[in-house]
Amino acid sequence: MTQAEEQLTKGYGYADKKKGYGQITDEAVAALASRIGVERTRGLAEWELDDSRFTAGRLRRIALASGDYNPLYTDMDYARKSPYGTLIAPPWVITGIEVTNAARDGMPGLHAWFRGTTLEWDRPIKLGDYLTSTGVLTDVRRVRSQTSGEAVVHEYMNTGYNQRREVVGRMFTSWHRAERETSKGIARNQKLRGLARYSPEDLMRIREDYAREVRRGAEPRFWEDVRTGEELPFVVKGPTNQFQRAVGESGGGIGFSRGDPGDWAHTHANAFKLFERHPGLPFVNEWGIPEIPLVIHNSNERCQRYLGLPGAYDAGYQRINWTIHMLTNWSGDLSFLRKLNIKFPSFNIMGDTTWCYGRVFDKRLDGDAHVVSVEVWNDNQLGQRVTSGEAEIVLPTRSRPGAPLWPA
Amino acid sequence: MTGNAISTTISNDSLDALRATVGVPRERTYQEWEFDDARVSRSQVRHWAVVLGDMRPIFVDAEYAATGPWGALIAPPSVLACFEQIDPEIDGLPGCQAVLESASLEWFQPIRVGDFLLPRSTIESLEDICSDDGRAVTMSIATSVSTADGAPVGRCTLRWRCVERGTRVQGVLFGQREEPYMWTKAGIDALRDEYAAEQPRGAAILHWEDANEGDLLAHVLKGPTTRPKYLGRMVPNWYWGQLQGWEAHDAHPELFFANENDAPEPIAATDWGHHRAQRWGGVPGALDSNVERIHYVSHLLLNWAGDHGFISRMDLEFHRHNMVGDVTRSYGRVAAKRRQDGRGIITLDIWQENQLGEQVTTGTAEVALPLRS
Repeated sequence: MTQAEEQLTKGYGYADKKKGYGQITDEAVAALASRIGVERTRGLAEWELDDSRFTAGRLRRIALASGDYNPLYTDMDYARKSPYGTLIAPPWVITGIEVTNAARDGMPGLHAWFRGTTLEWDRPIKLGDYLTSTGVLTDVRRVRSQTSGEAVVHEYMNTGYNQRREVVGRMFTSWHRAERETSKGIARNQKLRGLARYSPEDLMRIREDYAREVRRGAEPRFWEDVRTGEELPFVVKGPTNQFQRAVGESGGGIGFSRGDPGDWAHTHANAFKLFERHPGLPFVNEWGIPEIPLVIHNSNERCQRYLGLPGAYDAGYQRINWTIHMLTNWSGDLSFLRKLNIKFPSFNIMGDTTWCYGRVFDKRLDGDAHVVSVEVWNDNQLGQRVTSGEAEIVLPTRSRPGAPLWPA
Repeated sequence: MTGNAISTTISNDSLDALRATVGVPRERTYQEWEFDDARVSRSQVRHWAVVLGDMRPIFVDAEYAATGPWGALIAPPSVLACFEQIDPEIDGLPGCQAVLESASLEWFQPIRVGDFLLPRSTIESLEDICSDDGRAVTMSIATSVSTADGAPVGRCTLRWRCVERGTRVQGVLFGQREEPYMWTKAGIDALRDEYAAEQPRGAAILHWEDANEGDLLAHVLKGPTTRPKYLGRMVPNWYWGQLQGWEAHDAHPELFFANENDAPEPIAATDWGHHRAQRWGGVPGALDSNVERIHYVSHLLLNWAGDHGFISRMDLEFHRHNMVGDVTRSYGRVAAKRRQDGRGIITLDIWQENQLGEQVTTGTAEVALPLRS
């Protein structure tokens, strides 16, 4: 095969591409925008919801896959004595309510980057609960900037319910769509940095940082005792590797797409059927085999070759989990994370190490709720800020130590 | 730590330590609040069906299955091979590469949705084959699965060849292959047509009387294999790259290599794809998992026997190892038939070939078919 022929058959899209495939056109943007405000559900049957209950095993895998040893998630004897009386789910499982996102909504062939999300919680999620949700596209807009060229931003709002139809929380997401060539441009400045390399001394320092983790646990952190400007103990994560990312992004093996078991696991005849339905979907790998596009982002070689990145980039979700690990370590068992706004200004590349930090910047009374606001950020081993945001946590008060922490 | 090809050793000490565990059962137990995790759920079965590429309605369509021979959804029978409680590369001989050499499976009843399953595994034997080319150890792990009330569901013995990495005994696994197979668009299109021609029997009954010695089964195609199947199937016990990873590193440093970042990562992650296998293993590419072939045979047999057929036994020997990206075609021929304890049993010869026409597997299977009488 000549090099020119190889170029024709490798990379994104195997079958003949329709006009406009992988391009930002007025028609494609208008078609997507026509879905604004249309409510979507996953259409899960009762049995599927029942099967998606948070069992003890699932909670354990979810927690440990993100490296959070909090016994509230894993140790029934401990959890029984906690304010919840049973095992609870780590707050980040709320990301499982996402009904759809830009990676599979409109404009096939465009790359999708996760820009950030705002998460809101109304009540804890406990052992035996399941989550159901509705989602809606709230905005589509074309943007143009010097660095990223032309792009389209999609925004979504998802609302999650438990099996009693109580709202457990909301997830607002923002996505950046760009043509693959433009995406290479976005990535170009990243290429300068290369993959992380660690000396034995570097690794030893990271290990020491793991040993410095402090979990508040059962001892209440009263609102009155918190001072503005206070720094939260950090947690460190990584260096990530293929093993860790496979586990972490699949929630410990419970399925990448959480509510949809096996959604991305198409193989054999299923894969061929999928690509017949969606000829533009597959990525044709180095050996001529069409694969789901997701495989790009777990391979250094593919991200280097096709996206111009220094290595495999992450989906973003793990940084939410890690940041929440840091927040709940500090706030303790008797506290309620009610909001987290998080943005991903830069990439987390395979092999990076991530330090999650927080600092209290405000405390106030909101109705009956004693709230602290925490600035959060993640830095990598180069000192680059890869994540930034703010969190709101409801803390117990000395004046009414037993008062409920969430509105329900 | 440098980025050279990995070499590992199976030491006398680690082998002796493992020998001391031969015959000691390892089982999974459940506390009351964990019972839901032991139950075979409908979505678990669907998940298996999806990742195995076998979507027959008896696995995924509850209405259909309710009126079928088992009165409920059943799981792909071959998942019996996935209940092993001992991982030869982790609990066995850390740092080795383990490939499945042969498998014997026996089923007593179908795995139904709602079953509460208790697995129990034992290392049955260890055979040490030491030569100038490196050390290989054959590890036989027997696993039995029963329901909560003790009724046996099935039993399987998987024989793993555990080799030292970076030695000639590892290189032998690849046979004459020097690189992964390269597909063309025409080749892929032909596979698509071959898949489209598949015709599972389904609800129609194949009676024992109608199966005759010499009958050839319609073959089943699988592949080309890719990495995501591993992602989808991964239900790990260890969580690397975070605190747990460091703890595991302390306990089993021989399980780790220094990866692209000069950071420790389990060696098993070099077996998932060609890039890493070539760079870190110094081998032509990544090997396929032979466990998959048990599923492929199960698919072949059920396509032929239909929903009413019951696979009762399978003995497979894997002569060659496929690489990721290969296809496997499974074939069968009726070898003998007999009546036993009021059941009609068919014995079949089984073989598998890759896209190069190399025979990679041979074996036999038994399927119980309904009697017309």
